[in-house]
Amino acid sequence: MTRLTSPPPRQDMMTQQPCIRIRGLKKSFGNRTILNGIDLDIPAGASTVIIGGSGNGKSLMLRCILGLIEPDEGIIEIDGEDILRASTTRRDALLRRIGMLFQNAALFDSMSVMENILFGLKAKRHSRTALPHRTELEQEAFHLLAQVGLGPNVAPLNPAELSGGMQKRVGLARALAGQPDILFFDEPTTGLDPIMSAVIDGLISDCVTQRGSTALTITHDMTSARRIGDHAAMLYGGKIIWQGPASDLINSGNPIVDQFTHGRREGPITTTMTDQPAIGG
Amino acid sequence: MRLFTLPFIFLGRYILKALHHAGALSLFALRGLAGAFRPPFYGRIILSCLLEIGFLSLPVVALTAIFSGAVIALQSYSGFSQYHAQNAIAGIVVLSITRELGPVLAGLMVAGRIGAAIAAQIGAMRVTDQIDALSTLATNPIKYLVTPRLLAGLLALPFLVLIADILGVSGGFIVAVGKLDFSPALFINTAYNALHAHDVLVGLLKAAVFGFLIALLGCYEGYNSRGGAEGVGRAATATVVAASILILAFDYLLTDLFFTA
Repeated sequence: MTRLTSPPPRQDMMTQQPCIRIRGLKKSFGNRTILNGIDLDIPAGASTVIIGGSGNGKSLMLRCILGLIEPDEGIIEIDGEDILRASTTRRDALLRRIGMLFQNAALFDSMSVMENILFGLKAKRHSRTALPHRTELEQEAFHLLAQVGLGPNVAPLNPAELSGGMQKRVGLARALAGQPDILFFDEPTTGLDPIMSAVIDGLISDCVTQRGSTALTITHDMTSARRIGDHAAMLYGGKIIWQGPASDLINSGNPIVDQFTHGRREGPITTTMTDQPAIGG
Repeated sequence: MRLFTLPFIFLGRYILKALHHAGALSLFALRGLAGAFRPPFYGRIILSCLLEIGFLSLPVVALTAIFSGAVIALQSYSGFSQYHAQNAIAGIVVLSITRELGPVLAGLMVAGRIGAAIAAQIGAMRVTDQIDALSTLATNPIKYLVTPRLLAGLLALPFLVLIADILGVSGGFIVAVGKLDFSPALFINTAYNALHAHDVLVGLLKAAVFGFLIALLGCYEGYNSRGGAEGVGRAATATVVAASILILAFDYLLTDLFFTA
């Protein structure tokens, strides 16, 4: 099992070169505006956590960065290159640098665990002709499974035979297979018990401290947010309303952030059903 | 006044929606077909789809064809015997099977069996983020999921229909010879004289069109499904309904194009 490590030293968000820079990102569905001008810098080599209520567009923002949904307006830069205006080839090359762990792991259920990881290993190689021999790839897959704390005995299993935590670990192994330098985590601890949540959090922290990856995590889980985050931001009403060190989440001084992080019923955030957009997480 | 305009408003909306879907479906088909001409090529997936659509549909298509041929022989005998034209049965069986019933019935059977399965399979992948996962793993989901199914539909249906033609005529032959006391040689001779290569080839062309339509609609509905398990169910139902209607509509268009001069 990969050793759990404590989060790296806090770094000032403003002093680091942003790996991903988002400006004025907007996305509406019909007359419902979900993202209403997101401005956010995600520093390189650090772990950033986005918090926010359900339906506030956190997952939608990730999908816009990943190119899965086209935003209406805005700029999304990866290392200074605007992916929305780049050529398809260049955009694909930039997006190839990103690995993603989906909320439900999104493992291919028609494939075994081994095939899922082999898919990740093969898919992100630029040239299919330069693929190593299958035995070599399988060794690499076993190594990735070991990195996420899973033994070779899970390799022949189907995703349906795994627990939620194991599925997420396999999902992480598959995301790591392409050796991405940027990792996105969509609610990685949702639905997991506290111990498994700690394990997943540890793996995320390891990705940053040991691999030097840039991590962007969206979560509702405040314990997790404080455990893995160097930086944090809160998305509310389609905008980033607060950002700062993750250690300041509990005492942010912002009444909306305070209500959210302390889970209070009373406060500026209203939870009437009509406020809930259908798209976005 | 409003009561008068209301039906036109609904009709207009319906037409606009239908046109929007037709446009989206056409673009989807073009993207799917374009994938067949650019690497990477997923040969193993195409083979697996061919097996699923072609080989595994064989029993249901074969049974349908045999019984259809048998029923046509019986029905045409009871009708034609009134005019002492029983000898035309062989020609009726062979032409109706090769031109119409082979492709149409095979198409409808495959639409029920495969169209729904494709929609459910891709729909389930959509609602569980597996399609998005493909994109994040540098794999074009259209090329990976849609192109192989379109090609398999295009290739597998003609193969199925060729077999359905043979079995359908055999069904008619068995009934004509075994039940209606036809001479085997007379049946074969009459059928052979009535049949032209054009009949079989147009039947196979129809099959290719139907196979493409079934795969296209299954992929399109599945790819665009929303709303969890219920959405997947809706996609499967919509595929079977739309594919069945389009098979019948295209059958008319192709018949009009190739058999009326």
